[in-house]
Amino acid sequence: MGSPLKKIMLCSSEKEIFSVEEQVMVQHSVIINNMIEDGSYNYEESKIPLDCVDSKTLKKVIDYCTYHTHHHNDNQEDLEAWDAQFLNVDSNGLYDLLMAANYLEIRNLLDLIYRTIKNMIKGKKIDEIRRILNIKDHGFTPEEEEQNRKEYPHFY
Amino acid sequence: MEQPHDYYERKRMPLTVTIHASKRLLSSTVTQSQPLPLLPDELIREILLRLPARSLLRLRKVCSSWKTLISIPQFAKDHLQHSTAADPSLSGPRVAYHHSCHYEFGDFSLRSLVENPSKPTEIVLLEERLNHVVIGSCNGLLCFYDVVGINIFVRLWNPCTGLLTTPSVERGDFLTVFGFGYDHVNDKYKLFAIVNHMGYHTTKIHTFCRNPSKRAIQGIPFSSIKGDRKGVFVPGTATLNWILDCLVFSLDLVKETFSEFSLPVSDPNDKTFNFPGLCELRNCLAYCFNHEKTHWFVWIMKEYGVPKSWTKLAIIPCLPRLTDYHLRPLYIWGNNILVAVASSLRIVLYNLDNGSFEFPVLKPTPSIGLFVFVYQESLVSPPYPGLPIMTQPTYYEKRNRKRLRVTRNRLKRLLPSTGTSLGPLSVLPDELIREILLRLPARSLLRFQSVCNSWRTLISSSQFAKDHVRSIAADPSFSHPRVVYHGFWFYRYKRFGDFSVQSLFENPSQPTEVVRFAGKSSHEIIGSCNGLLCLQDNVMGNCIMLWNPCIGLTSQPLEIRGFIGVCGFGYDHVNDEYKFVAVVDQKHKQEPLRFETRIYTFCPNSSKRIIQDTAFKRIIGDGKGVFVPGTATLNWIHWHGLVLSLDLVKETCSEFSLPLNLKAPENKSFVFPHLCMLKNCLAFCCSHEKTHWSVWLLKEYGMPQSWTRLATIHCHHSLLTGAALHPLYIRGNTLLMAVASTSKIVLYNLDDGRLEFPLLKPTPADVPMGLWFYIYHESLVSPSYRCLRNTKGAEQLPVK
Repeated sequence: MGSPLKKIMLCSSEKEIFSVEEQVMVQHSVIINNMIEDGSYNYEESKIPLDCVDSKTLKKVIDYCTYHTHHHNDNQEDLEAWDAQFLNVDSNGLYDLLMAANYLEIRNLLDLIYRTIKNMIKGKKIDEIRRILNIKDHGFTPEEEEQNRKEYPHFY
Repeated sequence: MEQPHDYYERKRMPLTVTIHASKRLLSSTVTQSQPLPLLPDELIREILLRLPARSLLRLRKVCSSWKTLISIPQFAKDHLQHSTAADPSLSGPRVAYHHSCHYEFGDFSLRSLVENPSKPTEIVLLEERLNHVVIGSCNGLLCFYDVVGINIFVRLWNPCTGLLTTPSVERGDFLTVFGFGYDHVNDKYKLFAIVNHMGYHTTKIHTFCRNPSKRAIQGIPFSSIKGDRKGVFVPGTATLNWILDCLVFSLDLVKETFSEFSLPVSDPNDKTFNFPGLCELRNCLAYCFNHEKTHWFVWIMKEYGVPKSWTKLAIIPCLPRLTDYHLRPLYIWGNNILVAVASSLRIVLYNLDNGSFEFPVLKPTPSIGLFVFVYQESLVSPPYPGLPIMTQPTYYEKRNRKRLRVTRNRLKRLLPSTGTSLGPLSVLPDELIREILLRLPARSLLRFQSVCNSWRTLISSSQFAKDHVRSIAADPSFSHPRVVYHGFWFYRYKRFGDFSVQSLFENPSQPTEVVRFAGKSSHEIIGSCNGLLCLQDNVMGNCIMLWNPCIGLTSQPLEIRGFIGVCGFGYDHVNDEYKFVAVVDQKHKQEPLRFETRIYTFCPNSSKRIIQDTAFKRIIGDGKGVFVPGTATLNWIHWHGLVLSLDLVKETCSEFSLPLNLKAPENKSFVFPHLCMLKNCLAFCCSHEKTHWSVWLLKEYGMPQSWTRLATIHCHHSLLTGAALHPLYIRGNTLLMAVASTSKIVLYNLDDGRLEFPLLKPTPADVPMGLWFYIYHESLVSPSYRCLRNTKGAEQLPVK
């Protein structure tokens, strides 16, 4: 069985066009699934504009979806290893991926990134967390901050 | 003189709107008259069949014979038949919709929409169903899929009675083509789905019944389905219909076979016909398409399956206000008003007689997408497994227990290495930060309050605490269960401490560190839920208080006058209240002992209610009720060998049976029965002639059929032959932690029967007995209002 491999067009913020198997995106992205389902996508003409996703990120997102579509039956450990390798990116890349996954509503990718960031900050000192998540203005008054530092010196 | 005058006036009234006028006339004549003589039941039934479902729900309270009558499934069926055949508008059609992107799920009445288009129709927004996606509706049941994490469950719901099935069909793949319908021959509801599983299409028919069955069908060319992929169910025919290659493709739900017939206008080469779609109007199949972007044609198939009976119903001009590419007819009200949903996300009323349009107003303005469903309110119960009947209809509904999914934590070990060496991330939006924080343990979150002010605000909000509890329940790998224990009064307490379950499981041979709470040594634990412990302090009078050991806050004490016997602590998630139940003995000067069953609510004006129930006098065991999360019930074993369940929402008691009848003579050898909570389900444990312990799990709460044997524990060690084995926690499906005789913690491997005795340091007690253990999951939930800051709280605990 298997239907003919229909393709859909995705357009990145740099107006670069990516052609992807329909099933790959439909299976992972809730937004694209809905678009196809309610018939608002026309196979001949339309391309889906993703203005807030750049080409580099979009390519990675497509990689993720394609791999998970075709390797669904692999054993869990291999998939996890692949995921870990997949997320071996710099922080800008991770941020872009998160925003793209959020925009396209790719649930398992979102969950994966959430877990990654969670593990980045879990068990870290406050100062380190502020650095990792780029929190420049903590919003406490200097007195409050000093009070906190005095009260829980081992947190910082 | 007045009487004839009145009569004359009434006669002169113009008979314009007949239905309403007659209603007014009828009701007035009846109210003024004397009470009717007692009617026979058959006639009562006939009258009740003519009333809308929603009224019937109220009328159940009239008397017990009405209640019985209205609750019979056959009555629901007859009522449905009556309301669809005789007068559809009587049954109060309603519209349910969901929006694919905006996460909105709402419901409104079609009647008020049609009758008063200019007056805004009120929309009921259903927060609980935000991420539910409706597949179809029939007989007043909505079929939708519910997304829990990355799992998808299909469920049936009757919005009128509020009954909902438990998530039974689990599927991780997207449904590509599907439909929901009713097979009236076998009286079964069926779901048809083509599931895309890695490029392979599997076709399945799922039957909702006691033993859900799935059948696969082969060889359907569904890839060329046009328009909406949801099949259109035509009532009475038991068929689901799609458009396929200019033909109607019909699935017979009774025979589970396919057939095809032609559409009214079907020239595959004619490009002027666009956007074809099927729908159901007046219980017939209808076909709607656009012609040259100027008109919409609606055809109706008067006799199902007979192409000759296709009749043109309407030609609707494309108004500039209706954008041209979508129009879906929903319903025909009366003879001439067609209700449709247009692509400009609005509801349109089109008068078939004079061609006028109306655009009714909805309040609050919804983001109606294209997923709109009409349903008739009915009394039909969703088929098994359904939840027990609830007294309050519609939007009151029990939140379902989320079953524990055990996910392996390997990912955790792999991932951190990729993250640590990174540079700073760009600033994340608050919603995403929230998602990440929800995945962290409560203890880390306490520290993270110092990261910045916005985090502090977020983490300390009570809504965040609630969502955090929920995310822990959904994925136990986020949670950090701990065991807390207290000493027995005989040894004058003096012992109160807690330890981590994780380190106990991971390193049974390494002693797990026990944190002692000296300040709590005179307290007794009554129960735990959502990270709160309910404590009883017998030294300071008879005081009850809530304590969150993780955040170190204690509530104001609640003074109980009298001696507390049977008691329990739980959470009523419908009213968001923590409740304490106690049977109190009260001594009056001269009178004998008086028992009272009281329910206390922890809230600003702490209230006390007394419920009348004598069942509590004969409870087996230590008298502490077992709380089952998500069900809002406390459970005890009654002397008659039944589970006595107290619903904390309704504050009423009910009973159901145990997996075995303890009173039967052949079961005499089963001893030491008791209840506990495992995997978020109620569990029952008892010993058989001291040779082995059996543990059963009640998979569907309140359904005695769902008692499932979880484990048999052979007593090959002397510690297990005693009178006690209290299961505390189960990790994965194999390792059970339990308290055996002499208050010793044991780990029992259900697969190979291996027994381990993990070490604790310092040992909880010098005398090896008289300890009571409870599991709790660390949370941020504040112990209600007026908290007392306990300085010897969280900071005393070791920080990891």
